[in-house]
Formats: sequence, C-alpha cells, structure tokens
Amino acid sequence: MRIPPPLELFIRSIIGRAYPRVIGANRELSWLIPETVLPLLGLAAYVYVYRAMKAPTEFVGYVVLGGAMTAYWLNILWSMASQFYWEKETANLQLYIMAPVSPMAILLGMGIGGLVASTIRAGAVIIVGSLLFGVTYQVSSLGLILLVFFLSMVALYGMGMLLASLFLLSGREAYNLSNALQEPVYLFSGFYFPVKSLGFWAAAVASIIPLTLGLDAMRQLMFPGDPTLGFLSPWVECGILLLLCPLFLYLAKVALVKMERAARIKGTLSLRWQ
Amino acid sequence: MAVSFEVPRRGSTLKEIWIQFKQASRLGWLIESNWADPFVFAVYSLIRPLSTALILVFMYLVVVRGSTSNPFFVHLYIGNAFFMYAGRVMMGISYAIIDDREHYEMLKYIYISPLKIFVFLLGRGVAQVITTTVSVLVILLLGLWPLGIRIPWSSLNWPLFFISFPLGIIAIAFMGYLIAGLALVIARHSWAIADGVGAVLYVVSGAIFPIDILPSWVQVISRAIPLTYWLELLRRSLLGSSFSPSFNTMPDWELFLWLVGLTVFFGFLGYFVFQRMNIVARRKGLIDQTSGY
Repeated sequence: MRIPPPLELFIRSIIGRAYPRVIGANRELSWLIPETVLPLLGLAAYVYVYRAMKAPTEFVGYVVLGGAMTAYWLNILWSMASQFYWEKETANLQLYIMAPVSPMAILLGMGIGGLVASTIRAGAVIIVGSLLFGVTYQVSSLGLILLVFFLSMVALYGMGMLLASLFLLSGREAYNLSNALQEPVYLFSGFYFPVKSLGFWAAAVASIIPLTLGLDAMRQLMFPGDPTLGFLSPWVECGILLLLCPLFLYLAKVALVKMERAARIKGTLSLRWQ
Repeated sequence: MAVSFEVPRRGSTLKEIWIQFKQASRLGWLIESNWADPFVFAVYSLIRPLSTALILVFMYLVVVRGSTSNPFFVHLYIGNAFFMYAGRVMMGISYAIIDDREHYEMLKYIYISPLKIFVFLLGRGVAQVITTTVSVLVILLLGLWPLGIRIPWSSLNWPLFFISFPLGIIAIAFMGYLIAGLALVIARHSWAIADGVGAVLYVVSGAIFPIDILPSWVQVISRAIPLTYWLELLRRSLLGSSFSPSFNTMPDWELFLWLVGLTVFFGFLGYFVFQRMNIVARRKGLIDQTSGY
C-alpha cells in the first residue's frame, strides 16, 4: 500500500472533507428552499421596518446584503464551530482522530466546502431579495469588492476553525453557545444597519468579527448614497482584514492542538448526549 | 438527569393529567437549563432576545435620529417583545417532537410510557413560557430605562391586558401543536417548517411594523391569524393606541372577538391536525425515525 507524502495527504484530506459539504449540500436540492426562504423572511421584516420609517432606499440594500451574509455566519456557527459536537453525536469524531490525517486539514476542508455551499445560498438570497424589494446597486469598484469579500471569507472561516477547536471539548453547551452567538453577531456586525451607528469604540471592538468590516466595506462600495454611514474607508478595512486572515488561521492551529490534547485527557471525544 | 414520576391511583384522571403536565414541564425546564449553571443559563436566555431588540433600536436610531419615546418606536418595541412568546412557545412545543425523536431518540419511550403525548408537549411549552416571560420583562425594563420609552401608566387597561394575554398564549400553543403534528410525519424538513412558520408570523403579524405597509394579499393573511389581533390588543392595553391605521376604527371588543374566534379556530385545527398526524405517524412507524443525526 502506497503511503502518500504528508503534503499530498494534507491536500487529499482537505478535498475529502470538502467533498461531502459541497455534494451533500446540493444533493438534497429541496434544502435550498428553506435555506433561501428563511433568510428572506427574516430580512423582509427588516425591509418593512425601514419602509415604515421611510428610510432612504439604500437601507433596503443594506438589509438584503446583510441578510445574504447571514448564510456565512450560520454556516460558521452550525457547520464549523459546533461541527465537532455533531460529529461526536454521530460517533464520527473518534474516527477523525484515529485517521492518519491532520485535524487542521479536516477543518480546512470543512471550511472550504462550507464556503462553497453558503455562497450558493447567499447568492440566491441576493438575487431573490434584490428582485423582490427592487434593490439597485451602484458598484464603484468590482475588483475591490471581490478582494474585500475574499479576505472576509478567509478571515471568517479562519475564525470558524478557531471556534471549532475551542468547541471541541463541549457537549450540549456547544449547541446552546452557537444558538446564543447568532443574534449578538447580527447586532455587533451591523448585519441590518450601518455598524458605525454603534459608536466608534463598539464598532472597533466588533471589527474582530471579519464580517463587520467586510459588510461595511461592501456596502460603501455598492451603495455610495451617504458616505457618512461608512465606518472606515474600504481600503483601511481591507488592510485590517488582511491582518485578521493569518491571525485566525494561526490561532485555530494552536487551539486545535491544545483542545484535542485536553479532550483526549478528559476522555470526551466519544461522549454522546452529554 | 434523573426525573422521578409520581404514580397516581387508578381512576383519578385529572390528577394523572396534572402529574403528567407537571413532570413534562419539569422535564422541559431541565432540558432547557441543565447544561449550564444558573448564571450562564440566565445570560443565554437573555442574550438572543436582547440582541434582536437592540438591532431594532439601532435601525430606528440610524434612520430617525430622534427620541425613542416616539410612538412608532414604542409600538415596534412592545410588539417585538411580546412576539417572543410566539417564537419560543410554538417552537418549544414543535421542537420537542424533533429533538426527542431525532436527537435524543426518546420519543418512542414517551409513547410507551403512561404519558399522554398531548399533555407532555403542553408541559414542554410551559417551560418556554416561563423563560420567555423573564426575557420579555427584562426587555420591557430595558425599554423603560435606559431607552426611555413612555408608557401611560395612569391609563393602562389592565383588564384588557389580562384577558387578551392568556388567550394569545393559548392560540400560540395550538399553533405549536399544528406544527408538532406536521413534524411527526415529516422527516428532514420538520425543523424548517417550525422555523419557517415563526419567520412568516414575524412578518405577517405586524409585530414590528404596521400591517398596512404589506402587500394587500399578505394583509389578508395578517387578518386571518390570531397573533395580529393579540399584539394589537396588547399594544392598546399598554399604550392606549393602535400601531396599524387600519385597526384604528376597530373597537377593543371587536378586536377581542376576532382573537377569541381565531383562537378557537386554531385550537380545533391544531388539535385535529396533531391527533390525525399522531395516528398516521404511528401507523406508518414514524415515531422512531431518525433522519438528521
């Protein structure tokens, strides 16, 4: 039996873990309906609130973009951070740990697969939401938007890997923590309103969540209606995201090693329903 | 988690139902809370509803840039606070089926125990009513201070509040049974139905905006659900005015009659659908199906 060299094994592990995420997510196409309709309903409520307040039309665009981005945050919470909890519940986690692959490769595969699956859902929300609520975009720099999006996603999924490592020890509380982190991040990252309105320092602290800066930059580049609503300039936000990418990936690696060792010592890797 | 059950004497049906209800409520409370110490659980219970309320606060402030004592904001805030019952109680009842069947794989044991499933689900819903009441009170206190919403204390209509409030909770519970019934016969998409109904109700009930702003065909749905009238009555009893201009001309008693009528309708519908689906699920052997874990 041929044993592949470490780098090949690492890459094959990433592909192997990403594969079920991409294929599985699109095998049951009926999932697309609730996964598109549910965020649309959520954002519809906020669109009508803005309309009732006679807000400028770009606010509807803010909500649609923010609503689409929830797909990524939900993916981080439920398919990254609490993933090892689900794997424990289905008795898969012990198999991952026993397999001769790097857990970091498994996390990367989960992240890449999740990113592809979430992009399909986010795209559907943007298209349907924009058509439904008549959103018009004034794209000033497509290249910069794509760069901001790319950096936000790398940093965000790095953060997801970090959370997955930190949640490795968790039992049922992983589910509850993910549940508890959902709306607070919608609030602090300004999913439905410009983050600047939280105040400078609150927005600065919230910038540790990559979507905060990513959303703010993308909104400024897509809806240049009121320049005073932007938190920092898109280029500055791009620079900060560039720093967050390696930071989260490094922290995820360190946390994974420590938490895996702690879980082995405590014997929690195969505990179900705890 | 050890749950001790009292064994009732034969023939005392009411007492038996009461014991089942009491134990199911306790079980619901333990499932909700025993994963964390009380402080962490308190934070967990409050953090989501507080965040949702604050999202609305910032949305309002960034657009209006005015005082939070504005009647529009007060109506929005109160509606959002009380809508939490709809989300959590309805979900509490319907998710009990999904969780106990798919996750903990305990539903089959509930069925073979002396528990009546209908009473068991009611108990699980009650646990949610208790935790939601705490969340609603905290959100209302946050509204009074520091947000400074004004409630006309001298003209509060307590009788209207206290007859409308429980009626709305009953309507919500029966809507929960309706979804629980569907969850019994649906495999993979049962959670989506539960979440979807909650999200639809948030939009159509006019919890955070007047229903008049919705397309006319959606307003027809708004007027066909008890939650719309319930939220309107609660706002009137607490604030003395309507959120929606189309309800301005409707007297309290008419709104109340609508709430009673629709609660009775959804009561029958929820009970009928649940019992029917219960039979179908047992016939088809779906009580112990697992599809998501």
